[in-house]
Amino acid sequence: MIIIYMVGYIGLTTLAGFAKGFLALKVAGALNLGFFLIACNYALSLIIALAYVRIANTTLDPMVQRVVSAFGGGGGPR
Amino acid sequence: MSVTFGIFILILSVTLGITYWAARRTHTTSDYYAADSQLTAAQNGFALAGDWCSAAAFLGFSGLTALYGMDGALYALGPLVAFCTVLLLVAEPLRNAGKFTLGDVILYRMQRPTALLAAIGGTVIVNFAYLMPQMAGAGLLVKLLTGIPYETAVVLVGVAMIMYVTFGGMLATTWVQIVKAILMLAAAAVILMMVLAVVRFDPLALFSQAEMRYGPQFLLPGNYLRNPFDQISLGLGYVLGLAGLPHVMTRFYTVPDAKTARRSVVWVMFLAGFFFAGTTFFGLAGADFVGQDAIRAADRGGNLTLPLLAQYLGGGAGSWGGEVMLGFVSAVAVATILAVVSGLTLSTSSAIAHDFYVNWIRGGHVEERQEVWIARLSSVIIGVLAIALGVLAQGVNVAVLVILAICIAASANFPVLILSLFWRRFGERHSCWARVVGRTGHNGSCGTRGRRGLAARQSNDRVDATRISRRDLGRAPGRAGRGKRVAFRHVLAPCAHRGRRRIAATLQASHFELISGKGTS
Repeated sequence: MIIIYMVGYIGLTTLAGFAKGFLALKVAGALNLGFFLIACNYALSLIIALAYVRIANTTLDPMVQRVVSAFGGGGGPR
Repeated sequence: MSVTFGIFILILSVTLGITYWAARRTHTTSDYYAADSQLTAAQNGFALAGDWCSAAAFLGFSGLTALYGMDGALYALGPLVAFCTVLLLVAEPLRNAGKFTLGDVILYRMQRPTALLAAIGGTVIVNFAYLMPQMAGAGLLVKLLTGIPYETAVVLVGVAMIMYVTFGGMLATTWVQIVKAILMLAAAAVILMMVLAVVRFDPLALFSQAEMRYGPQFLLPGNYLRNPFDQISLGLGYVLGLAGLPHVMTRFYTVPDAKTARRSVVWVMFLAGFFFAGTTFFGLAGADFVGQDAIRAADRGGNLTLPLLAQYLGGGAGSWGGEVMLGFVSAVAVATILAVVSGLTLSTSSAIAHDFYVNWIRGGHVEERQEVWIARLSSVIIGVLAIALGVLAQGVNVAVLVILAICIAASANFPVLILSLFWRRFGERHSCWARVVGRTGHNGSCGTRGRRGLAARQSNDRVDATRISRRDLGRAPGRAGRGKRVAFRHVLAPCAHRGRRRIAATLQASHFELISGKGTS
């Protein structure tokens, strides 16, 4: 997931630096591809956040619990 | 202007009331540094939003968009994306590994912590580099909005800040930030609704009007940052720097556990995401309705775009609605600065009192009451220093200093943090070197600094992943760690065969160290 958002964000800034013409393509009306990608990046960040919380709750937390109990059960973080 | 002043006084008295309430509940070190770790995810999320949406964001981003088009929007995107780094890498392990400060994390990995001094240095330098522009911004803003002289304004803000932090500790600081975040988001929501109402709820009209008025070049990147490498390095600086800002890190100690820390990051991402996306629209609307010439006339850097836009939407200069809107937005902007400087002062004072005085000079043997007293004293001193620096910083370009602070955080604090959380064999020497290299790198360009930070991080993640294996289980404890190290290995080894989940397990691992290592000591 780190790779996804890094590629998304750094990719966009790289495009902004080197491929202005590409970002100038029109998507709808006066809205160009650059602003469209910015909006996508916002959405991407939020989706990643939600996905991570979901994974953490369903997969990581139980895994942690298992290891904790294997060590005599610390009972979770403080 | 009297409206601004009235609303500002109202905010000030409410926050001082909160401070009084908080002061009566703040007795122990844990109360003072971390609000006794009893905040909920939503509270901490709002407070984080309050910490992170500084005046630079509130006023600066909309101004940049109004004057330079897409570059402003790219600027505003960075801080949100940066929270992905915080969420995925830093928030939870940080909560588990430390107690109050970054110094705790270092102390907890190393036996003889020369690196602690480096951590304290990093925290103090970053915080002052961040504090100074905020004070200067506050002075400038209050002066522009109310006509009070610059020096008086800085002193006023500084005194309020000292009151919050010294008496109310983390609890008061948090609630000041929550109040401010709510006000700021409310202001943003109202303005956004009004902007959309003007264009009949068709956001695309904002773009086409801007294009009609300023030409297609306005909506393209490169108007503000002409060098492509500047764009990229700024982006990297943001994405890595946020996680290394001490006052953001301290916020994760105010919640009871890692799960709450995680949820609070999601809160702040939604709040801040809405807000930062909003600044782009405000900027465009400002350029469309108010006009770049009027914005430049009020402040050359475009910092007054949002107040001017609010005034226009309220009915224009001179009208009653316009004055109320202007006053409201301006007062919120000042409250914003107040909340941010309080957070900064608190995290600096905890670094000095907790890390430097208690752990470094006295080796951890200080009575709790005395430690709180020391922390309060140091926050007064920091406040006075901040006022002095703020007065001196008049006329310095504030945006440059903010970025400088974030870059130092990205290159000095972030690598150390990540390495001490994820690299098992990370030792004292490495930590010192990471900091020294990070800091001296500042003579170079912003780009190399950011990239070096990234490279360091990636390479050490790899070291981390490859070195965790089953055979570690049977190995004798290393030089530094003893009991703690053993626990670390025991925890990682069972997870190692899980392949791609390995890193994820590492994320969670530090909390066992705590249970079986420091937790029992």
